[in-house]
Amino acid sequence: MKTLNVEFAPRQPVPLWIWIVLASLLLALAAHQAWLAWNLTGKLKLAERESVELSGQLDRATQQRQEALARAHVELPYAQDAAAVARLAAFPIDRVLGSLEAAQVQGIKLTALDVSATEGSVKAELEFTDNDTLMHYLAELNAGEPKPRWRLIQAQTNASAGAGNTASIGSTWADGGR
Amino acid sequence: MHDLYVGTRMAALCQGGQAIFVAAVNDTDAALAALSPPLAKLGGRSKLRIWLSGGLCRPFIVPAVPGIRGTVEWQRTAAALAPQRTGLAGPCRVWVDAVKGDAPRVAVVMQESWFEQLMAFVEANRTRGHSLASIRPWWADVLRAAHARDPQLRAMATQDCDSLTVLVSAPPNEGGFSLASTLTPVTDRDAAESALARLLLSADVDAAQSLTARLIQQPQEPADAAKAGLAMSALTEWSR
Repeated sequence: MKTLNVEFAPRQPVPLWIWIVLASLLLALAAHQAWLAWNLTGKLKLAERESVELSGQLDRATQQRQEALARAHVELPYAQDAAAVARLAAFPIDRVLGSLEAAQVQGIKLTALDVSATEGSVKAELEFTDNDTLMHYLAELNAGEPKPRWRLIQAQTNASAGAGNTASIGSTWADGGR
Repeated sequence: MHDLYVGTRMAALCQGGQAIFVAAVNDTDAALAALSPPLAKLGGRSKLRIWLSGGLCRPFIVPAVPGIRGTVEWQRTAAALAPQRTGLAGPCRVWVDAVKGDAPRVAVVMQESWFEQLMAFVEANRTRGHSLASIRPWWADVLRAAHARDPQLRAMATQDCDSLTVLVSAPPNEGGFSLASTLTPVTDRDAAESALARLLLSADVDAAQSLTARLIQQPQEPADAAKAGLAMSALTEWSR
C-alpha cells in the first residue's frame, strides 16, 4: 500500500523582501559587470594605441635598417676606379708578352695586340700561312698551361695561297696568370 | 510546530504527538472557534499543520477515462465526479494523486466554501504569528504511519470523529488503490466495524490484512504509534 501526499495548503508566495534583495543583487552584479567591461574596453583601447605606436616604431626602425643596408651596398665612384687600378696592376702583362715571344713559329706574324687589363683579356691579330701553322702556333702558346689559355676567335683564309690569311686569337688572364 | 485537528464533531491541538487541547463540538464553526483560545495562549511564533477529518476531506477513485491528458484535466474530471462519489455539495477543491499513465487514481476533495472558511481562520492566526505549514486529511497521516508499520498492508481503515475512511490497495501488478471511500456520518464504533467488514468483504480483503486506526478523545500514552511519528499519536488507537 502506497502513501498519499495530499496537500491543500496554498503555496506560499515568495516574500517581497526576497524579490527586492534578489533584484538588488542582480542590479549590483550588472553594474559590476558593466564597470568591468568599461574598464576592459579602456585598457583595450590603450593597448591598441600602444600597439600602433610600437608598430610605427618598428616600421621606422626597419626602414632605417634597410636604408643603412642600401647605403652600404652603394658602390662609390672612386671605388670603381680603385678597383680598375688594382686589376690593372695585377694584370700579368709580362707573362702575356713572354708567352707570345716564346712561341716562335715560322709562318706566323703578329700584326696587332690589344690588351684589356680591366677585363683581364688579351686579343692578338696575326697573319698565317696556313691552317696547320696556325694550329701549331696555338699549341705552342698553350704549351705548359694546365688548360689551354689561348683560343682561336676567328680565322680568314684568302684564296691566293701564302698571303693574306688573318686570324684573331684571344686569351683570358683574369686569374692573374696562374 | 503544532498540529490542529478539525472535524465536525471534534477539535484538538497537539504538539509532538501529545494532546494540548481536545474538545467535542457540533460543527466546523464551533471547532474553529474552540481552537482559537488555545492557539492564542501558545505565545510566540509557530507553524501549524492542520489535519482534517474524513467527513471534511474525502477520497474517492477517479476511473480511467480515455483521452484525459495532464493534471488539470484529471482535476476537472475529479471535481465533476466529486458530488456523486463523495456526497459533498457545491464546488470542491480537488487534489489528485500523480500516477503515470491512464490508470485509475485517488482524488481527495473538500468543499470550496469550507476551504475558504479554513483559510480565513489561518489568516486570523497569521496575525498572531502562526503560519500555515500544511492542510491534509488526518487519514493521510495514518496511512503514512500504517505504510511505515507494514508496507504489504492491503487495507487501512481510519475512524475519526465523524467518518470511516477505507483505503484498499490494488493488486501488486496493477498498483495504486482499488477502493478509496469515506462513510459519513459514522460516529459509533460498532457501526464503523460493521461497515468496515462489509467493505472488506466486497473488496475481497481478509480482515487480517487490514489495519484500523481510531481517533479517541481521551489522550493515552503513545505506544508503538509514537514510533511511526504520527502527528497526534496520543489520540490514535490502533487495532487489527
